[in-house]
Amino acid sequence: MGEVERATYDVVVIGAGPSGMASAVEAAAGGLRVALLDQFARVGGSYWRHNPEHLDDLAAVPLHHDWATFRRLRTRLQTVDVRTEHTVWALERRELGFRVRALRGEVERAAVVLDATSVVVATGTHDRVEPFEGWTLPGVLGAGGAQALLKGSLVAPGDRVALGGTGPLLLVVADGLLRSGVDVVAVAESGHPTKYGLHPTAWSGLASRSREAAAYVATLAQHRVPYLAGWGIRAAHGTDRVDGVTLATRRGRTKSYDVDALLVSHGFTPQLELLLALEPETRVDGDGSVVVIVDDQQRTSVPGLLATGEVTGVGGASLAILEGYAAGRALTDRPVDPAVLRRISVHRRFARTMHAVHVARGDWVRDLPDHELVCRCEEVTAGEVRTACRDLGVDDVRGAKLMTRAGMGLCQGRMCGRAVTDLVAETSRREPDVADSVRAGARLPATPVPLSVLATEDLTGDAT
Amino acid sequence: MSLVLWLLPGPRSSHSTSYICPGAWRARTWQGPPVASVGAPAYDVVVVGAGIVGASCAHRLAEAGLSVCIVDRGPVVSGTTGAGEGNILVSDKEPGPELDLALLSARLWHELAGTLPDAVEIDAKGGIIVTSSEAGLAVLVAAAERQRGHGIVADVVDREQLADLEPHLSPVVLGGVSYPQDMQVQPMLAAAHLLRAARALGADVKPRTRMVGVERARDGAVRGVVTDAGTIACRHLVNAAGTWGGEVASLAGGPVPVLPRRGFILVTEPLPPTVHHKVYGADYVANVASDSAGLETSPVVESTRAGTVLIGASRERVGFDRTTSYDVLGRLAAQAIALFPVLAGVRVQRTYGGFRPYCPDHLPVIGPDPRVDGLVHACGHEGAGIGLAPATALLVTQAITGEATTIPIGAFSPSRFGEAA
Repeated sequence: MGEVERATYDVVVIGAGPSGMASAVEAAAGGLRVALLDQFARVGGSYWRHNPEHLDDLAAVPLHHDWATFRRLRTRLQTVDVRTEHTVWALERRELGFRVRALRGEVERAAVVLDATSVVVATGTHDRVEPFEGWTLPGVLGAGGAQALLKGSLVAPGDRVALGGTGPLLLVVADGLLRSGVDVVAVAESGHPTKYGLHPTAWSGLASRSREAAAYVATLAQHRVPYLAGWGIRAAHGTDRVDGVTLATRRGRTKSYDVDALLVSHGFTPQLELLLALEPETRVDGDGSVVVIVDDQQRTSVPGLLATGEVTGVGGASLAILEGYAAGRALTDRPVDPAVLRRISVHRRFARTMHAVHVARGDWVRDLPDHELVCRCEEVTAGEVRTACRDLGVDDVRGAKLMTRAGMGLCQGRMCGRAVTDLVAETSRREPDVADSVRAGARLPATPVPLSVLATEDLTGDAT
Repeated sequence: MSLVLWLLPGPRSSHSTSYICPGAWRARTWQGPPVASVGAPAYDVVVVGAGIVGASCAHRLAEAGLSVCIVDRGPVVSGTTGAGEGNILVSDKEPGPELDLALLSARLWHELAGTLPDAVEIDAKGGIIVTSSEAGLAVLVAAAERQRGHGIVADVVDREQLADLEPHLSPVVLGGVSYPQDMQVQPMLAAAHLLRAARALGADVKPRTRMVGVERARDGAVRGVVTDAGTIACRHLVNAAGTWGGEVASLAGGPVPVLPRRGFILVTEPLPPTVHHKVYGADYVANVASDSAGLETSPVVESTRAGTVLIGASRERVGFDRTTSYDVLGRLAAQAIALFPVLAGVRVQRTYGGFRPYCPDHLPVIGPDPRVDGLVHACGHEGAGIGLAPATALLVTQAITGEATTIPIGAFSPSRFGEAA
């Protein structure tokens, strides 16, 4: 093991997506020494995933939103110590402040230990995908991942694509695909977007957002793509690769399409593992996600620990940027512009409506055949989890993990955790409680770390 | 956090209960007045704790024809059983009562291997204690000499033999002692399958049911376990609450000094076969028996069937503090690399911690409590609960049914702590 790199900052911001960038810029503007960490090679997060050659070429980034904001934030990062390719594996509370442990580099990974008075966690989300028959076939992709691929590398997932699941992301991705010349055969939305009509005030103050939504719907209409509200994915078909999809309503009506790719999104799961290690107060958000509770300056219940963006509740990039700004102001004891606080509350109100409208169908558990995988890393089937519930008394996600290995693989349950939770709840007829989800979400290390890196901790544990 | 919550007694049930006391023990031990049954379920035995020891006791008691109910404050296997490596060891025991218990238990585990499904991963892989110093080797050889007269197979192995047994061991290792009787089991699945087998014999399993007290007859005998879900009538209470056995014992009126000794384990990503036995550094045995309150770490490295490598073992007396200690994780990693340099670049996928239940004299508490008629202890096994569970269950069952115990249990009796324990 080589040398451990050490540094000390006033603030370490973890995650260089929209809210992380905004926090770092604002904290640095207030005179603080700030480090901004991200596991990828470029800042922007998955929202602004891009090819560096396209950075200054607006024509090459037609798929990006708020690109001007990105460029503005990026320019202002000059006073921030930007540390890309830093994967944080542990966040530890010390007597004074925090210690952030990271791995640097893609291949030859070096140990980095950063101490900071305050930490902003802006780790965002990963895609939530509910399993269905055939969901592990090649060609079935997370819609968010496919979107990032399209934005970052301009690679389309297929020529004939269906999208399914729930949430505005389906529309955004369909729009991007259509504008890239891909044939989109259908968009199945398991929620009922007409219910936005029940919440007319949700859109107030969000003119740009409502224009955006209208534009997406118009694009679908223009390409005669059916937007099927109330329809979910029943099954993907194919042998070596997906070649068809069957959609179904709750009442059992079905439609089938030939496709060469199926993009799925059932919303997002906030990435809380670093936060949960410090045991801040949490709550369950409207979309069922465990999120961390923050005040109007993005402070968690742990002194010095702030959280911004999707880890405080899935609400989109615009909200995330505003929260980042508020956190940066709070860190430097400067007041947050009241107009920003108003915007934040408008966005949060919209997010609540969005969560109420775009509900995952929830009945996938009933439809999922026993032979289908729920945990891909450890290749655990739905039947194995059901058997553990029925025969071995498992009634929570931890028990399922210990008995079946579901969630014990490389991703440590990040991908399958919620699906296994739902499957266990359905089979054991016991509602999962928040404590179960919180326990299941706390992971150390947050990312796999070589023994040699851990071993260096032995020599350096009491350095401060 | 949930662990701490459990220590606070819940609201005491105001449930009024009637008792019926069926079972084989009735003619022999029943002294209180039988009260008419009004539908309250009643059991010969309520076992508190659904870990490996409680599951083993429930299974053995049900096999003996007793009616059994198992309660646990959490889900099944949510305590120390779910945080262990699955050790079934004889190598770390000096001749004495605990070794007798371990040898009996190893025999019973072999029998269980024939009845439990293959999924519980009982693996007679054997253990090897290794050392890199001449002085250390002399200590190991002397210990092996003492153990050999008591039924332990302990073969001294030199560097060349070690290279055959464990090709990836560091060349600085001089030699060691091989213990082919050491075994491993997947403890969570073993406990769950024992509970399943107990249920098939009529036992009831009540997870998420917290014991908050006992009901005692006029003569002081146990006649019910009070839980947050009502009182469960019974004649015997088996305290199999592991690290929380001290709390259960106090609630039952027969306190025993069981305290937590924290440990962490590292789990690597899956590897092709790299470590073939349980391999312990020579410090391990000394640390197991140590009285030090400070941090002790000694390498224990082994593979699981899934290909992951488990790395232990640390011991600290810090109460029920779950905070991750990076210092401990670092020491465990460094020691594992010292034994198996090939592991340096291998990634740790997860870590977990748990609390071993220990008594001041490092012996478990097994057997009837002379202070409370009907209270039987089966806790305080420190790091050896998985290995010692079947023998503990046998002795507990024999004590309850009044049979002669297979081995003497005086050394494990709660009376050894004195009246004021």
